[in-house]
Amino acid sequence: MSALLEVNSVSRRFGGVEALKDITFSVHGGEIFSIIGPNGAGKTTLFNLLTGVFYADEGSILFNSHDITRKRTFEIARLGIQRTFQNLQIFLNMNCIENVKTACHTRISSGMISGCLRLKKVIQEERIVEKWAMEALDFVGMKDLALAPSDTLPYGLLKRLEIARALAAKPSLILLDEPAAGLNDTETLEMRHLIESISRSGITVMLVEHNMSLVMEISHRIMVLNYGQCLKLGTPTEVQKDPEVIAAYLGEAAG
Amino acid sequence: MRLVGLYIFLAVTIGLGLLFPDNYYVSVVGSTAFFHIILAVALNLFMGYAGQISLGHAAFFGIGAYTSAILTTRFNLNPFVAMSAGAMLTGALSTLLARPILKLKGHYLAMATLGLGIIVHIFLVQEEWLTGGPDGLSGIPPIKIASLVVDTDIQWYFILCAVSAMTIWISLNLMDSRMGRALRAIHGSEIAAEVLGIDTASAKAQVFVLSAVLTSIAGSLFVHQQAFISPDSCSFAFSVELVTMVVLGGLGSTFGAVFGAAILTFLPEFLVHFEELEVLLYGAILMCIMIFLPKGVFVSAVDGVMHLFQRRCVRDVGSS
Repeated sequence: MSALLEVNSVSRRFGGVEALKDITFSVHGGEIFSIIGPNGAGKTTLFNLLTGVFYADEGSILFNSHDITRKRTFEIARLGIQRTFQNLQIFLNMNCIENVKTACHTRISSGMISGCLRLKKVIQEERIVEKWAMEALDFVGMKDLALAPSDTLPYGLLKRLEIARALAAKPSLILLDEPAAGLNDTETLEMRHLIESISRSGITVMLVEHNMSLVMEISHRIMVLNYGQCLKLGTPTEVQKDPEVIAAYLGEAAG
Repeated sequence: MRLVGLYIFLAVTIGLGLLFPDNYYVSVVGSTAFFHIILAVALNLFMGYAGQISLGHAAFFGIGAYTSAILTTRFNLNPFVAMSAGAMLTGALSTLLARPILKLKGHYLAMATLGLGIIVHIFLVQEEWLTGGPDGLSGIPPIKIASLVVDTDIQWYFILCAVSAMTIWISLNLMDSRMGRALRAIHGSEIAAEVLGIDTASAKAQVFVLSAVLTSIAGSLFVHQQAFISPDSCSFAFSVELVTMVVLGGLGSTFGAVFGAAILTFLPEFLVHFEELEVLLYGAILMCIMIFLPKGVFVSAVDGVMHLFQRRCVRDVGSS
């Protein structure tokens, strides 16, 4: 397998706090790669570096052999990385399908003037975007809610909507930040199936999640972060057996 | 379906124009309402769609107005050429300012645009050799379409009706297009918009320029209709009035802006009968609207109707 994402000795400080210290790993195309660790270990910071929300102080990040270390967020998105947010970032001023249509931004090209005049190109684009958006909603099982205002939806559905939105951008890598947080058992199971079907559709998945049974069951490889450092990187079985990981995060019961 | 509101708007306004061509409230106040509608819809692109704030849009109105006034009176240029020159000047200025200004958010953006409005106003008052100072400029020629000289109130009514309809059409079109969604996404969550691949800085700059240019065109039309312009017409108070129209009608809704503009135009006309109570009532009505209908008159009304409709549906399903 070839490396889709290569992170080379990346560090990031916030004031005196070293949020990430010399992190090196690579993610292969097609795998489900999870990042676990206690709160404040640097998991979300890592996602923020990968999407250009923050920049790394040191080190480099290569995606699909493009150097994205200093690229801006929207440029990285155009190269094919999408993410969801721990604290949902749904466009609450739009309904479901509009949220998803917005994600097709990089797949179409009409500008503001042609939009204002509704040129033929825009009409064609709108037709295809409608189709793409419905496909993405269908994928997460929300086809019937296409026209529902997003500010009326329950939390679990908003999480799915955010994933549908990310998928509509046709990413090759998707970063999911705690997709199961706040979900009940049934919803968590549905989320698990959804992540698996995303992976089956050929999209590489990076997952930050605290639900250990979910992580252990679906991940191909897991990286354990603690105080900004990589404690362990390996298969779920290897991680579960590691004494350091047990001490820092999993606790005796899980080991 | 998408343009149904525009058709209703056209039917009502053309109908009123044809039925009551000599009525003061239709031809004169109506024309003013159209100006406000153009301005509010243009400002709504920037405020309601993209979620930014501008307390300086009167500056762009002034630039359009004065460019037209100066070029037509001193250089005898065709009004439409002068109007284009004003639009281009506004476009250039707003393009230049967009990037640095739009880095700011919220109150800071309000301050920066406020500063812009005040600078332009001071310029118009001080540079007497060019702008006529506080007295303004007069004797501005009317516009001519083919061989028709537009100088009666009802002619202006129909021309401004057409321009308003075009502005509304542009606004509705933009809403359901790639860049329109990008703007509304910025309003919803700027970070999520970036993550989806939207160059938010560029999108905001573009809509700022678009909004400014439309405002400038309205300014140009205004001087030809009034045959007169003074700095009072492009003061800070006017900027605030425009913001009030957009917010009062309902932020983010094209017809919200239309309603807001119409209300703020007609309300003072009717309140005149209350003489010294006018200003008091005006303020009280605005306050009540914002307290009881915080989403704006139009948006709240639409929400209310939808809510009623849905409840009825649910009841029907329940009883059957």
